[in-house]
Amino acid sequence: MISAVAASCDKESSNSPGFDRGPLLENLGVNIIVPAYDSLARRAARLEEAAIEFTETRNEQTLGKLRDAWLSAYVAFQHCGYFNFGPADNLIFNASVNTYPISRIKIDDNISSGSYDLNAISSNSAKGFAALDYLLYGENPDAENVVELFDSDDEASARRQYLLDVVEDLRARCDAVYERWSPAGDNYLGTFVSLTGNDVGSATGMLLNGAIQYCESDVRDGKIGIPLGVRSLNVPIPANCEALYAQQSILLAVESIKGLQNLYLGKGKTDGVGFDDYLTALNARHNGDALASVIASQIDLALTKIAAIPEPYSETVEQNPDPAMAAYQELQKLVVLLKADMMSALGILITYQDNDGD
Amino acid sequence: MKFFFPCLFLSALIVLSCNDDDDSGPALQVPDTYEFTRNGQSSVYYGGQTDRLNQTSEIKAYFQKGDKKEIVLDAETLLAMYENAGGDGDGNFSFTSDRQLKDKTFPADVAFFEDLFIDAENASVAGLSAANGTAGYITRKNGSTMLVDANGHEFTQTFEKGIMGSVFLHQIFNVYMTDSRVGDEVENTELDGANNYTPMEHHWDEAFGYWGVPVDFPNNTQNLRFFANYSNGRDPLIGSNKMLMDAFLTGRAAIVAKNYPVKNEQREIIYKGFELVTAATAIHYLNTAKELLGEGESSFGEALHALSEGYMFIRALRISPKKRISDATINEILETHIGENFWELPETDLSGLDEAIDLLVDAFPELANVKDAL
Repeated sequence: MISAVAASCDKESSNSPGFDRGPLLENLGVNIIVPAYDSLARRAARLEEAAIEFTETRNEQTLGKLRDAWLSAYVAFQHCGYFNFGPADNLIFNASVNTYPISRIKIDDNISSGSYDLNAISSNSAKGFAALDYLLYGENPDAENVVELFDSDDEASARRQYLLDVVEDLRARCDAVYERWSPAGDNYLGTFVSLTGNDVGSATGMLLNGAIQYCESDVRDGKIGIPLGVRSLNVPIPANCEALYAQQSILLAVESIKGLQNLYLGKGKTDGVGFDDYLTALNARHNGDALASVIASQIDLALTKIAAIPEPYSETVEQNPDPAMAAYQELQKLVVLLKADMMSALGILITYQDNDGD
Repeated sequence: MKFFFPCLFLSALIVLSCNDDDDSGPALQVPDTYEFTRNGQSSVYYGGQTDRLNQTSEIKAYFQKGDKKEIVLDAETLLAMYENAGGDGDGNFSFTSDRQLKDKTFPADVAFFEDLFIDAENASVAGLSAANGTAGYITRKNGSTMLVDANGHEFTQTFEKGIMGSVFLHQIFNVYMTDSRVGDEVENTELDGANNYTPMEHHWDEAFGYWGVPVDFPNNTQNLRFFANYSNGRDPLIGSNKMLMDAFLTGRAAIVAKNYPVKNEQREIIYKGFELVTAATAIHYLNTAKELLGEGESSFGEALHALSEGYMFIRALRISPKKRISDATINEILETHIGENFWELPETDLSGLDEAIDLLVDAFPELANVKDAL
């Protein structure tokens, strides 16, 4: 296996003498990654403000603002999930802000007992965006009911404290990962743009491994496939939908593909150098067509198919699975294009492996 | 799709190495006990499976304390054990391990167990007497109490038989016996890192580990665990002990000899054998329940116990990707013929249980002659 990999690496180095990865990394870091984390940190801060306001003044209006702030930050996160290397990897960022399904047992018990450690890894299923989904919507999302749970229920005070603690944890983690990247902070951006090779420890190597694994495990499987039952003999698992209670699974999945699209095309506030340009410079082909445009079209197609899935996804998987299966299949094709064709053309080794040992 | 190009490369290598063996038709050396060695050292290891059997035993023991009113069941404690928080079930296990049950559960059933823990806590906290629609305690024939849900399902049995289906059978059927783990292209020459086994050997052994038999089964029938106990229980009527043990031994020997047609035949026997044991055990419990329900109210608690077991064995039949019974039939048995609410059974008559048995026999015709004796 090692020799096969070495062979493909050798091929690449002779293949891409004309492409300078420096401007690519500069654009990805400055124009996409840092702004995405910045946007997330700002929205998380607004989420915290909205949570404080709601706990102080508990009514349907402040709840509505809090829910909006939650969704806004959740959307911002969808663009960041792909950067699962470096700071995010060190901070275990993705798992500590977006583990789902949540554990109702843990959350309910944390509220009742008032005793919890949100820093423990075992608390990942009791906090983050998904825990807020449960707290702010829950099984009876009627606004009046939710306000009552936070206002006059026996555990209202404990529930308010738990909400504030979860939001603070989330905001602090979004701050922390931004700080690591920011030139004004630890400036991982500087490190990132300097790793211009294409070996395992290079910026492109780490970014693409993190991004493609995320696309495979978290987007294709987590957001679409697992609720649909592709890992469970086609028995659907509606409880595993993202944003289950708010019924925003598809909206978030669409945002997530938009994030992938921006990353691939190098599009931030401006349209800069992306992996499409890299593949074009290498003249990478796929069945006679330019691989760069084949992948761009496949992202478009996956986006269209996901957007066509009816919400709430938790009902779709049981009652009308066909549109979801169609989207899953396009995501599967996309993963193959990225993981096999693109990585091979770029001469970058896939270093992750499904962790499914004993 | 992982390791796309390297995989193609690797499979080419394996095809070449297979050709070397094909001509000679390698002879098998099938041992009498599940002991295989390489260079004088054992090449068998399934400690992760043993850990999970032990975790299941200890969680069951916790449920049983709740049955006897020695403790009030706590959902968070059950969850901590199920996901093995902190490596020792948050202090509730007698041993430490980095293995857990939750991440090996059939994905569609994780919520089933978490809901079960919540229901068990609620029933235990309420401490009522069980009745139709009310979770609580009911007395078994031996005078001990047990906790059942509002439909009469015993929590302890629902958990234990649930894990047997959703973890043990699931792992054997949908993980270790699949092509990705023991298919002909899985690595079977190079050792797995510093271990004394190849990946293919190890995966086969891990499936064996979930069965719960001693290595010298069936000569030794001491300390049988979980499915081993039920294989042995049905053995006089369906010959399940030798069927499964021979399949595991022969398949493992075939892996050592790189005789893959024989290995693949044994895989099919393992799928069929476990499915048959499960179906036969379900019939056994439905027969037991019929008898108990016929004895009237004094035996009703014991009947709920038997129904709980039978119900979960039937539910476990869903897990096989090669099952000989359809999902629709399984659901029909559970929802219509047995019914979700066990309390409703004696109100009508017991023909529903007969229907359930007949549908099982239709799917597994080899049980027709023994269905009343099971």
